[in-house]
Amino acid sequence: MKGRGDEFVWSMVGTLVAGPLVWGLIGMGVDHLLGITRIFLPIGVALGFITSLLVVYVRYGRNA
Amino acid sequence: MLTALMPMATDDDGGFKAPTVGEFFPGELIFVGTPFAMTRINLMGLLMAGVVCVFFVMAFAKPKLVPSGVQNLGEMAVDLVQKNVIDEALGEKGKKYAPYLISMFWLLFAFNITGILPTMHLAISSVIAIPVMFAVIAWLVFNIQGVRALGFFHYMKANLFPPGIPWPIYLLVTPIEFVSTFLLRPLTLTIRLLANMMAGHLLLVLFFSATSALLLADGFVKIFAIPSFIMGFAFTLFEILIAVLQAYIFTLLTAVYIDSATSEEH
Repeated sequence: MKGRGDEFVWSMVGTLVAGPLVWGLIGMGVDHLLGITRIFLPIGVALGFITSLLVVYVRYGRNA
Repeated sequence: MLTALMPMATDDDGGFKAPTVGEFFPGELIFVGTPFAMTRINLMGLLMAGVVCVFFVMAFAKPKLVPSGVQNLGEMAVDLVQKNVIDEALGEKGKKYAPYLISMFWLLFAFNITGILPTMHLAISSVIAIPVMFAVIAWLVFNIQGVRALGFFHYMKANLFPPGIPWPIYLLVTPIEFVSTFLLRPLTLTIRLLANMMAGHLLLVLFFSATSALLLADGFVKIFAIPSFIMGFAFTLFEILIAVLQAYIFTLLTAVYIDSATSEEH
């Protein structure tokens, strides 16, 4: 990847938002299916955030 | 007279009325009640698109080796996008996308700048259909060009499976990559432009409506019309910067998305 500046920030923000969003929604779905409240939702959000940090590192940190 | 020069919302007796989202849904003006009904914003959109077309046709209809007059301006307009966006983000392969990106930048600028033009007072891009249309076209362009450059499976693999991650982690990573690349990109392009244009318009209407209402008010509160007008004027200047900046960001991000979609490495 070419050494660009600000435009990468938008892609990183996209990934950092997508992680908690996707896995938070999946966690919320699991909560709903199991008939419990707010157990898998925070787990999903945390898992999604950690995974999105990994993606940011792999895509923009390590290979930059 | 004042309402023609400044965007403002006043109630029937000229008092202060806070701006609402109703500002962005004006009534139909022509062909009322038919499927072809047009609002003030539609007409402004047609006008500004026409202005951009006429400008570029006039500039390059009879190009000369040594440019003069409108051709000079046209070349400056092309160069601005070519040097700052296309060369920067796409390099050599940018030539192919120059007509698309240059038209996009100047159309977006024309649609943004109407927010501060007297008698218009409303950015055409502050109505969601316009940013959505630009974002959908950008989404189609970068995906189609990515598939054409790499082939469907290679393109999906490059986007959804970043290299160097142990395979069980792909279960977590791939849904995130799918959402961030294929859903959030057009969504963020749309929201960034729309929110900036809407907020700018609401601020201008707020300050100029307050100026008008304070001037008409009784007593010493009249004096507060001065800072309100100064703020309105300052934000009008700021909106010029925002109009250029938002057109630039939208075009630059589209170019970056095209580059990343058509590159082997992601």
